[in-house]
Amino acid sequence: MSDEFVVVVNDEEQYSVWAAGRELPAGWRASGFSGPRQACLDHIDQVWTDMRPASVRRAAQA
Amino acid sequence: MSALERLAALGPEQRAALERRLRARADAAPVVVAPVLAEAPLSPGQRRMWFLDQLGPLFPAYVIVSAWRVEGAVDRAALGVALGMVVDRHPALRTVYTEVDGEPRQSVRSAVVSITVVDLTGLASEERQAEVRRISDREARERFDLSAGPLLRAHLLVMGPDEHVLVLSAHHIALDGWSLSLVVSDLLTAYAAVVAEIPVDWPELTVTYADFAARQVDESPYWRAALDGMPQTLALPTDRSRPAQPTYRGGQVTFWFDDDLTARLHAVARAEKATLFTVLLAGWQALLSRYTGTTDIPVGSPVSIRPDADFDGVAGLFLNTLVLRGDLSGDPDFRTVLRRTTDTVFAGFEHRDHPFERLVDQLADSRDLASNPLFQVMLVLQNTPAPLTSAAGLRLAQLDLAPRTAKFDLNLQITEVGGRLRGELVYAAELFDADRVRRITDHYRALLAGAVADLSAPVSGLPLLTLEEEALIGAWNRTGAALPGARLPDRIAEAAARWPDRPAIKADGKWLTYREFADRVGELAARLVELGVRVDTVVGVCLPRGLDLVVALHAVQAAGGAYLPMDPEYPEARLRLLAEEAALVITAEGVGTAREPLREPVPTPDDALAYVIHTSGSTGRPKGVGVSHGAIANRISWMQEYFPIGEGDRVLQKTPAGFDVSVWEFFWPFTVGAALVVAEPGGHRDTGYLADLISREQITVLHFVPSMLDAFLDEPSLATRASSVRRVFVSGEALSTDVAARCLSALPAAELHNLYGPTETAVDVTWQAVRGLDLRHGVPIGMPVANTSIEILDAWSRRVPLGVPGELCVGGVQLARGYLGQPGLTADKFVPNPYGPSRLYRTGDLARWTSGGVEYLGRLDQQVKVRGMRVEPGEVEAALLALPEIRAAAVIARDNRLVAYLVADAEVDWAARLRERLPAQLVPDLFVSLDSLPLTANGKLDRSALPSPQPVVQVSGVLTDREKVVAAIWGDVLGVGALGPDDDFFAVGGDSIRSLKVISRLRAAGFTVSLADLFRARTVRDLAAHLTESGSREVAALGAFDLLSPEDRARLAGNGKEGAA
Repeated sequence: MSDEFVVVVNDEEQYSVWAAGRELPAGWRASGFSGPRQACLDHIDQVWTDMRPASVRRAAQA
Repeated sequence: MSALERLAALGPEQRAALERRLRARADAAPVVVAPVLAEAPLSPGQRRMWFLDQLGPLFPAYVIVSAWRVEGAVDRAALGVALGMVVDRHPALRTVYTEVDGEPRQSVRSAVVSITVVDLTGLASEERQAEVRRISDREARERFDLSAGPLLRAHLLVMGPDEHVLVLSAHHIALDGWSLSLVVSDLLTAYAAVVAEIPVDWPELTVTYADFAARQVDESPYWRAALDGMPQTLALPTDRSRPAQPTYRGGQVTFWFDDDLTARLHAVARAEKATLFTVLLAGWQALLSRYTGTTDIPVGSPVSIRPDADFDGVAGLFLNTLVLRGDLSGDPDFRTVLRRTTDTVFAGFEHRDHPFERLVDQLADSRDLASNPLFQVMLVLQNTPAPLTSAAGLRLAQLDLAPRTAKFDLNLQITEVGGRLRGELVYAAELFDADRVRRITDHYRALLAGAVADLSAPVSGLPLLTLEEEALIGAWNRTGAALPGARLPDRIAEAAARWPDRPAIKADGKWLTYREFADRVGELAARLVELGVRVDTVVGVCLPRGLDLVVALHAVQAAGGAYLPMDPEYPEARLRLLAEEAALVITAEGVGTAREPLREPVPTPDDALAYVIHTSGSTGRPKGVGVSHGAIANRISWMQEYFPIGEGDRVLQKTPAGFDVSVWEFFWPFTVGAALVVAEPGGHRDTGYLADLISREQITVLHFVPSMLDAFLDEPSLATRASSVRRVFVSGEALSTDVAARCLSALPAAELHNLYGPTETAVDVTWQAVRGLDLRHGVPIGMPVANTSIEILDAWSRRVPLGVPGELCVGGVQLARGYLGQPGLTADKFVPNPYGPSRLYRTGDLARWTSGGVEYLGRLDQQVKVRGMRVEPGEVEAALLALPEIRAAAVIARDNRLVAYLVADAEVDWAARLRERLPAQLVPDLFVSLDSLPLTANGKLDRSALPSPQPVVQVSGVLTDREKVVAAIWGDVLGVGALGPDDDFFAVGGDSIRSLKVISRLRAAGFTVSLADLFRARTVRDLAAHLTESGSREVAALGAFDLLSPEDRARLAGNGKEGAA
C-alpha cells in the first residue's frame, strides 16, 4: 500500500485523507497537504477547527 | 537393436511369459503364490502414499484413473496379451507393499492383470455414457490392497462394434500421470506387435524403479529456511466451514483462456525471462492474496524427479511436491511479483529432490488431517507427453473425467490444448459451491488480463470483479427513496396537533395524551431557548428512565439543540468527562421554568445535530458521535415505511438512552400517532419484569440485543404473555441461529427482524427479515435501508468479489457528521466514497456479500463486542494501567465475556476499582493474574498465548441434593464443570445475563428464587440454602424484580453489566 496520502476536502468543507496518486472521487479536492497517513490526520486536527458542515455554519451566521 | 535381438535380450521370466501368451493368446493363467523377485525400500513419495493409505477408508483412495475412447475393431484377446506384456515390462505394476516392524518394504512379484469386459451395447446412448461415468467414478474410489496387488485395474467397456472405452486405474504409489501415459503407449505398442504376430519393439530398460527408490536424498537446509514462518493454512473465503472429518467430495469447473490472453501470457513470459508456469503461478498467488488479504501465499505444485533420460521409459512414482511461497508484500506491481516468483520457482526446482514428506515432518505445526499439510492450494501445468494414440487400426482419445474427489481445497490444472490454455479447477465441494468456483476462474482470467496489459500496475489494483458482480452490487445499493424528509421535532409537533387526545406515553405509572406530552416538551424547550440553546448546542441529559427523561430528549431537539445522554448509573468520572462536551446539563434538579411555552420547534438545517451518543474509544477517550436531523429522520421514515405502526401500537422503551437503539424507541411512535410505554429504571435487565410489562401493557413492538433476547426466551409461557407482540427487532450483536429459532417458536405470531448498524450511521443501515429464512446458513444482516449504500472493500478501498470478506463501509444520508471535537479521527473513519457521492464510513466490521445479502463476520481490529456493546480492549487496558498496583494488563473477549489479564503487585478488588472509572460494560467479567504477559518474538503482546480463563475450581466437600441442582444448572449455563459448594457464581464466570438463565432454570426445576438471592447468596451452598420449593414446575412466576425492594434494585443496577448503562 502506498504510504503517501493527501488531505482532501469536500463541498461541505469536511476533511478526509486519500491515497496519493489515485484518482480522487467526485466532490473532493486536494487541500495541498500530503504525507504519511498519520501526518495528514495530525494536520487535519490542526486545520479543521470548525467541524460544522458549511450548511450549518451558514445557518448559524444567518 | 533388432526386434529379435531384443527378444533375445529378454530375461528368462519375461521371455517365458511372452511366449506363453503368444501361443495361447489368452489371459487365463491362474495365479498361484507368486515368488518375490526383488525387494527394495520405498521412495519418499511412495512412503507418503503408503502413510495416506494407512489412514484408512475415511481418507481418499489415492487412485489415478484415465479413460480412453477406442475407435476401431478391438481384438480383445490380443489386448489381454498386450496388457500382460506391459505388466511384465513394468515391475511397478507387480509390486506389493508390506510392513515389517512399522517399516514398509516393496517387493516385486509376478502378476496377471486381466481386463474386465463390460458390454454396454444393450443400453441407450445416454445411458451408455452415464455408465462410463459411473464406472470411472467407482474406479476412482475403489481402493487397492497394497499388500496384495496388483495395483493396476483395466476395464474395457463395449460401446458398439467399433467403439470401446478403456478405463485404466492404478494406485498412485505405483504410477504417476506420466507413467500412466507411458503404460498406455506401451499397451498400444504391444497390441500392435501381438496382432502382427511379431516381437514387440520397445526400448530396453536399463534401470528400475528400485534403483531410484534406493537413492540417498540430499538433506538440504534450503527448504527449512525457505518455508520458515510460513502460514500453515491459507484462510480462503469459503461457502462452508471445514468439517473435522472431510469426505473429500470434489467438483470441477473447466474454463478456457482465449487465444489473445494465451498469446499475451506467452509473450510476457518471454519478455520477462520467465516461464508460462511462473506467469500462471504469479497470477494465481496474486489472486489468492486478494482473496485472503494476506501476502504470504503457499501453493503446492508437483514436480517430476525422474533423475535422467534412462528413467524416461520406467513406470513408477517419480513425483515430488514443491511448496512455492508467494510473496505479495509491499504492494508490488505484477512485474515484481513475477520476478519474485521466478526466483522462488528456480530455487525450488534446484532443491526439488528434498521429499515433501520430510518437510511435513519438519515443518507442519500439527498433523491435523482435516486439511492438507503446508499448503491447501495447488497449481499444475500439465506437461505429460501425449501417449501414442493410434496403432493397428485403433485410435485412442482421452476422455475428460472431471474428478468427483478433491484432495486439496483448490487444485488448478492448466493444459495447453491446440494453442489455447484450458483450466480445470478441482475444488473441495464441502467448502465451495460451483458458483463461487466459476467466479474464481473469472477473477483469475480478469486479473491475469489486467496484469499482462500493464506489468507496472500494482497487483492490488488489478480488476477482479465480473460485470455480473458489479451489476448485482449496484442493484443491491439502488436504495434511493423519497421519504418524508421533515425533522423529527416537526413531525412530532404535527402529530400532536392532529391527534391531541390520543394516548402518547405511559411512564412512571401514568398515561399522557399527545397534547399533554407536547405541552411538557414545549415548556422545557422554551426554557432551554432562554438558556441559550441554539442550532448545534449540545445539551446533556442526566436523568433516570421515566417521563422526565423522554420529555427532556424531545425538548432539547425542539429547542434546536442536540441531546447528549448521560446515564446517572455511569461513574462520576465518566459523567464529568461527558459534561465537558455539553453546554448545559439537565438533571433531576431541573433547569427552571420558562416564561411561556414554545409553540413550534425551532427550525434548523437538516445537517444540524440531533443527538450525540458516545462509543468506546481506543485511546481511553470515548468518542462522541454527532448525528444530524437528516440522518435520523431518514432512519425513522424507513422504519415506518417498512414496518408501519399507528394508533393502537405500543412501542416498549427499555433501551438505555446511551445506546443508540433507544433513539427510534424514544421518537418513532410520536411521529405517527402510536404510543410509547417506558420501562422502569433497571427494568430492561429483568426478563420476568419485561414479560409481565409486555403482557400488562399489550406491547406490540420492541427491541432486544440478542443475548438479552436469549435470556428473555427462557421466560415461561411467552406465547400467551407476549401474545400482543407483532414485531421484535434485534441488533447490537450477531444474532445466532439458535436464538432466532427459539424466538420464532416462542412468539409464533411475531415477526423477527435482524438489524445492523454502528452509532456512526444513525442506528441501523441493513435489515433482514428472519421469519421464513433458511436458518441453516446463519442469519445475514441483509440489505441496505433507504438512501443507504453498502460497500465491502479491501485494504485498498476496492470492492471485493461476492463471498470474499472485506471491511463493511456505509454510504448515504445516514452517516454521522463525525466525532465531536476529534477532526483527525473523523477524517480517518469518514473517507471519500469512490463508488458514490460524499463520504463512506469505515465500520471496522468484517462482512461479505452473499446472494442473500450482507453477512457479518466479526471485527477487523481488536475492538470487540461484549453483550452487544462495543468495547475497545485498549480503553479498558488503559484504565487498568492507570491503577498504581498494576504493571501490565491485557484485555480480550472470550465467549462473550471480557477477560482481563494482569501483572500486579497486589491483590485488589479490581472490578470495584474499575467501576469507579469505567461504565459497567467496560468492566471485565474475569480477572486472571499472571507473572508476566506472553510476548511474541518481536516483543508484542501475544494475545493467542493468553491462557484460557477457565476458572480453577476446587471440589470441596460433598454436595447436597439441592446443591447438586444448583451446581448442575451453573455448570450448564457457564460451561464449567465440577463445581464445589464454595464456588462463587461471579468468580466462576457468572454475569447478570447468565444469572437470569440460572434463575429461570431453577424456577423451571420447581424452586422459588429471586434474582437478588443469587446476588446475595453467591456460592452454590448459599444459593441452595435460599431455595424454597414452589410446589409446581414451569409455572409462570412473577418477575424477579417484583420481589425486590428499590434498594435491591439499585444495587443490582450497579452490578449489572449488560445493556448500555
